[in-house]
Amino acid sequence: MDEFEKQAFSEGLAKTIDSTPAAQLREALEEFGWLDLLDEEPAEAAGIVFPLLGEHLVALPLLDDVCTKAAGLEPGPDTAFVYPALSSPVPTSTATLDGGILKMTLRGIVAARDAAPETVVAPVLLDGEPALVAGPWEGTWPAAGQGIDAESGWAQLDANWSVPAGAVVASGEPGTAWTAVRAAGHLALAFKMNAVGAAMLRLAVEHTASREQFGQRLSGFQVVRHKLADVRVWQETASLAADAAEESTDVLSCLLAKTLAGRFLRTARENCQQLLGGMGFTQEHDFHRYLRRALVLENLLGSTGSLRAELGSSIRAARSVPRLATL
Amino acid sequence: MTVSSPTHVESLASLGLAEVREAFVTWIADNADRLNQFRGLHGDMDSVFAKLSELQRLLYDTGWIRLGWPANLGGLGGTLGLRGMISEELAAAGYPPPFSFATQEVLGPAVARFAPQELAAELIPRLLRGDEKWCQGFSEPGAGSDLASLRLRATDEGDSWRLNGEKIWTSWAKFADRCVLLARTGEPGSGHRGITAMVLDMDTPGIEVRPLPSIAGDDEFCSLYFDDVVVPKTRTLGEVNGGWAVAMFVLANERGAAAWQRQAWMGWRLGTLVDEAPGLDAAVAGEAFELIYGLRLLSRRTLRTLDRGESPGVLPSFDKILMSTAEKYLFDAAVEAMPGRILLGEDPGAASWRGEYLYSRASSIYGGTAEIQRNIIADRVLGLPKD
Repeated sequence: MDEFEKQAFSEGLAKTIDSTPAAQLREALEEFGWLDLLDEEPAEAAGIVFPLLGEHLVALPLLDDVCTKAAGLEPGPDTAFVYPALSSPVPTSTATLDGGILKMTLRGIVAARDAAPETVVAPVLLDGEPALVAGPWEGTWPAAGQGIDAESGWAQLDANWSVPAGAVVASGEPGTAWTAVRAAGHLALAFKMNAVGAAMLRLAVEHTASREQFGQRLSGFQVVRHKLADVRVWQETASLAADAAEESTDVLSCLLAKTLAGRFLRTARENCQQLLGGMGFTQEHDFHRYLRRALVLENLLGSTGSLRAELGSSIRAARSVPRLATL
Repeated sequence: MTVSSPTHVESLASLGLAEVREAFVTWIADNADRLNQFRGLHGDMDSVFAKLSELQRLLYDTGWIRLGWPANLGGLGGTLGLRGMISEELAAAGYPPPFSFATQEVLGPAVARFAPQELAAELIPRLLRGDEKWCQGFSEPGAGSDLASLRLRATDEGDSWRLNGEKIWTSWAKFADRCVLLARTGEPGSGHRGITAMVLDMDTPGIEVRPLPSIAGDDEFCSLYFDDVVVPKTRTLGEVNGGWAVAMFVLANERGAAAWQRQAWMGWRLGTLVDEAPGLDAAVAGEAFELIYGLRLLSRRTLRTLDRGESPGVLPSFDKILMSTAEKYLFDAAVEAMPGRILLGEDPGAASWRGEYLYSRASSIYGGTAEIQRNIIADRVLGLPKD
């Protein structure tokens, strides 16, 4: 797709999101061609759709589709993905092989669903190595989101699951399938996070440009201007990182897109909430919704800090600094 | 095979960046014995500069650093990206930029663009060959962040300018052969509209250079005093009273294209840090890489914009903030990981870390302070109303 087509697609999608009730949105997006786009151009699909999910605070489990597709499986409304527990960059579910049966303890985060999924895809640690397992699901499933951002639909899962040993999604070296899945997830999350941060910045700019204190607009005070400029710096960097990762789709570029989105959100949460004054602590103002969403997204598929530690360890192990984003 | 003739390098340039890169990396590896003398330069600045000039001459004679400069200026043609690639591969292999950071990529493009053709054709090849060094006379005691208030007076004397006044923070002026200077040619108080840029010879009578020892202990900074210094008008860069455009172009290159060189160097330095400091926290190493990568993405965009002949506008302000953030973070991390060695060590390596730590503190001051960059972003990117 060229830039023009992308924009047209994005605008059409935004209208669909605006005009469709939440309960019918999944179906509407599929009619719009979400799964086809994901199938044909997965990175581009994330770059078009996930900013809208962030901006409009949409609570659909499309990340499940992205991760399922990256695992080489067929995504769809009845297939769910089990993410590691918040902040962990590696699977927190475990598996043991017992007489041709994989016995698993699933511990992690899932998107709530009205009805339990038919198929589940889960990264697990099998003999200490990450492996992906896909199989039929017969247990119960969280029906509603929990905690600080229940609206977003994220819930914790703690369940036992058994499938035949053949359910391991094989692909080359141990862990490479999981790494590819996580990278696709990082890229989609980065786009979504950047849109959440952009909304926080927009709200803070609107507030400071319209409110007066000491007979002057808040945005006229240099300290206010500099705090907003700082948020803007990390937005610019995070946007370039997401675009670079969409272009290259390599694992490290996707990880860096996520950590730079995390840096942007952390600065946006801090500075924008401070500049919104008391309004940033109310439910009257929309800021709190983005703040809640940001906190959860920053911790999905690895917190900013844990991903940086992984990156640092890999630099030490390789004894060289990776060369990305070449001229 | 060792490529070492400009004709061969020129023929590679038409093939594309990847081919030139491969050939250059091979050349570096094949010539490791010859190049080794240029690693870890230290000691007195006269000998360091002599070595850097030697390296530059070698790279000129072999053709590599003539890439990306037009033929009429002593170059071999090709894109700006080739220049970025050459400096990147040199840094990745652990060699210093052969020319002063503040010259080749900062002042070179401005002289190439704004000097009369004959003057550019005379000066640029000398710079590329390493025959001479240049300095940048912008800041004054009363004009730092507020550069447009500069006062060094250039009186119109028909065919020449007569200069009187002062400059400060002029890097390496003691070693420089030329100076790219901003002077007041309009009325006092004419702000950015009354400034003219020119290039002058440092051996012109009436220039006094006084060293101002830097925090790192070297002779980088100088104060310049001008007492009836006569500069021919043929040395004017751009329009009379149009010096602000020259200054902004210089700053765009400093904040963008030169930042690309800087990130390549920082990436190499992070590699050495990880190697030398086993106690370095993994998350800190990862965060340092993240910041350097951020600068890489931003400066790559600026480089590409300049390469297309377009103005990067306000965008290099982002690059400049990332550059100082990354550089300070990297050297803070180094001191935290090796405090004994860096703060008290007496070996040359320790002295380098110490000097680079101290120099990194200035990265949020020179080329426009971090506060000025934030002002630019607030005004021109966010468009925040002031009143």
